[in-house]
Amino acid sequence: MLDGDATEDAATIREVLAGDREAYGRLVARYGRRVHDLARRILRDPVEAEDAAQHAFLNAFRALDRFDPRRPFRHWLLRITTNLCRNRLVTRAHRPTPRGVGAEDDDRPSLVPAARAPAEPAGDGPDAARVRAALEALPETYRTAAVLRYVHGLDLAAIAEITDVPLPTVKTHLHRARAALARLLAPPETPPPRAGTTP
Amino acid sequence: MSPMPSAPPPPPVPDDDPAAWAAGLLDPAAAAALERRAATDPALAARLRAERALETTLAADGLAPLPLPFVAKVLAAVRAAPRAPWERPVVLGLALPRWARSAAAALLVGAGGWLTLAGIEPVAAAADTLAASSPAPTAVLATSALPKGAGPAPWTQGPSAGARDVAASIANEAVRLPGGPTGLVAVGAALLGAALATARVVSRPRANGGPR
Repeated sequence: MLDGDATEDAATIREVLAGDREAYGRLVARYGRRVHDLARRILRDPVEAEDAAQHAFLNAFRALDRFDPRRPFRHWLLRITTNLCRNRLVTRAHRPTPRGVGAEDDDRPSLVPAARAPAEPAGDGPDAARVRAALEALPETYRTAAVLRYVHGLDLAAIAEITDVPLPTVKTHLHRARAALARLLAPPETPPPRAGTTP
Repeated sequence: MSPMPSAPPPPPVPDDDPAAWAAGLLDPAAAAALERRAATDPALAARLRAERALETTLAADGLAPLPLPFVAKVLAAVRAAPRAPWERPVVLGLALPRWARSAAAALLVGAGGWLTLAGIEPVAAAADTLAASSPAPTAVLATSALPKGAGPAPWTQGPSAGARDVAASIANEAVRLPGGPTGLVAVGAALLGAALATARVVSRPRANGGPR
C-alpha cells in the first residue's frame, strides 16, 4: 500500500518518464533537504556535500527507469546518495593530502569533530551543536546508520535497504553508535574538590 | 521441612531492548513487559530513562538547512543533462512507451525482411511467377528449397488474388525505383537496422536499486 507521498512520487516519476524533465523539480524540492543533509553528514564537508547531493539527483534522474515503483522513492534516492558519498570518501582517502587534512575520513572512531565542518546551526540550542559534533565523531558506517535513524527518523529495515547491509548488521551499527554517542554526550564530570582547600 | 525454593530469576533483558524501547521499535506487548519489569528493577528503570534521554537529545539535531539555490541548480543541471538512456527512443518529441517500441521493432523486422528478400530475388524476372503462383515473394524462395519432384508446396496452392496483386504490384514498383531491386535491398536493410536499434533499447535489462 502506497502512502500519500509515495503516490505523489509515483505520479511525478511517471510524468518525468513521459518526457517532462521539469516535473523532476518537484522531487528535488521534496527530497533536496534530506539528500543534502545525508551527504553533508557522511562527507563532513558542506561544499563537497552540495556537489554530491546535486550529483545524486542527476544519477537518480539518469537511472529513473530502473526505479521500482513498489518501493519508496526516498529510500532509493538516499541509497544512491549513500553510495555516491561513500565512493567519494574512498577517493578522498586515496588522494594525497597535506599532513593532517582528511585524517578523519577513515573508518576509525574519532573523538574530535571534523575540523572542516563549520558550526552551521541545524537544530536550535547547544544540544543540537553537541549532538552534531558527537555524530560527526563516529566512524562512517555508524554515523550513517545513526543519522538515518535519529535525524531522518527511518526504521531499521529502511536503513538496511539504504546502506545495503543486513538487518542484524544495522542493529549492531546502531547499538555501537548509541554506546559511543552516550559516552560523547555524557555531561562532563565535575572534578572532586581538593582536600584541604577552603574558599 | 525444607524451605520453599525461591522463584527462578527472570531471564536477562536482551541488550538491544532498552534502546529499541526508547526508539519505539519494540512491539507493544514487549514494551509493556519491559516497563512492568522496570517497575521492580531500579537498574533497568535507570537504563530506560537514560535511553529515552539520549533519544530526545539526538532528536534535537534536525536536518541541515538546504542551500537556497539548490533546487534551481539541480533543475538547471537536469535540463542541460544529455539525454538519459531511457529517453533515447524519442520520435518527434514523443517518448514511446515500451509496448510501442516492441511493436515498432517487430514491424520494422517484418517489413525490412520482406523487402530485403524481395530485392535479393531478381524481382523483375520473378514478377510473372509471383503474380501467377505465389502469395508472397518469400514463397518463391521457400519453394526452391524443396526436393525435386516434391510437387508444389502446399502454401503455393491457390494463392489469394489479394496476395498475388500485392506481390505483383511491389515487384512492378521495384523495377521502376531508381535503384531497382538493389534499392529494395537497401531500404530493407535500413529497416532491419532500425529494428535492431529499437530492439536494443527494448531489451535493455531492468534493475532494482540505484547505481552504485
